[in-house]
Amino acid sequence: MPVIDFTGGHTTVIGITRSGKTYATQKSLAAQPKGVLFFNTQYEDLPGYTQANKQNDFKQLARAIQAGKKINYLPSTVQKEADVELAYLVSCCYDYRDNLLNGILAVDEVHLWNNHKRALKELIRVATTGLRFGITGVWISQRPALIDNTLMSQSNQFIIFDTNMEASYFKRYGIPHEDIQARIEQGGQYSFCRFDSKTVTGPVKV
Amino acid sequence: MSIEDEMYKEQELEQPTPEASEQMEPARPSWKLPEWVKAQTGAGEITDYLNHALNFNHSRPLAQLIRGLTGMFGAMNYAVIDIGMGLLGMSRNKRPVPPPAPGDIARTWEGSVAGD
Repeated sequence: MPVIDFTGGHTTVIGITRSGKTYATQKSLAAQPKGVLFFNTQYEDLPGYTQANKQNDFKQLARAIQAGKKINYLPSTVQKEADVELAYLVSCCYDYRDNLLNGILAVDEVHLWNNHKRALKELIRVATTGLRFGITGVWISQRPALIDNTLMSQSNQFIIFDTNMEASYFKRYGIPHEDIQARIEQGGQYSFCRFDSKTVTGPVKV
Repeated sequence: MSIEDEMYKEQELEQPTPEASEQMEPARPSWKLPEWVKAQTGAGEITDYLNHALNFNHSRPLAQLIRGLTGMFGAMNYAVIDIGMGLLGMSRNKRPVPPPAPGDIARTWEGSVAGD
């Protein structure tokens, strides 16, 4: 049973390092039925996922995703090359619109792509039109202040772990930071809250 | 084809890099005249074409034109030309020439007005 429900649309997962955000996300993604393309920027360990990289054929990945497989995509360690890879992967996902990919694109540390126009443009494309083409975005970050505004504003839900010094930024999006922080303190380590632009639920412990 | 191969192929299509070649290409392509423009005119004098089959009014300008065409296309004794000229002649023969109405002013070739 996934602890995070990704069926409602795009999701932004926020939390400081070692708050449990990536662990909770990858576990929840593994437990739900849709295929997943996890763009593993930080080379996290993802048990149960099938490893892939740029040496693979995208058609193979697409078939696997359509079959509900979870892909752990390991991009190049060179940021410039990883930028091209991410942009290319997203554009390929759109080429499957006639046979909808019907999968989830999860990008770890999504704020790292803020200064990479090519990849950011494609991520914004997913945020604004992805659901229509069967692509759900999951944006994971420890620096919400650096996440592109469109990715934030197009998210249907926010999964918020322990965060530091981001109160003013959360206020910009109407996220009740104080309420959430109080609940997380109550829930203890590796707990999170869910905010869907109206209500806060939680804490939930991973 | 791997993702890497397709990525680099796309990048090449977006920004084609010039490749060094053994033969240097000219900076600007030279403009050449088409071959038919450089064709020699037909043999003989213009007067030789006054009685050409295509010179229906036996005029000098048309004879000159026919000489040029002969040089470009040969003797021009093609069947299609005969057919085309024949049809033209038949249509000219059929067309009745209306007589001038009384009082109409008709100018002769020299420019004088008939009736002067």
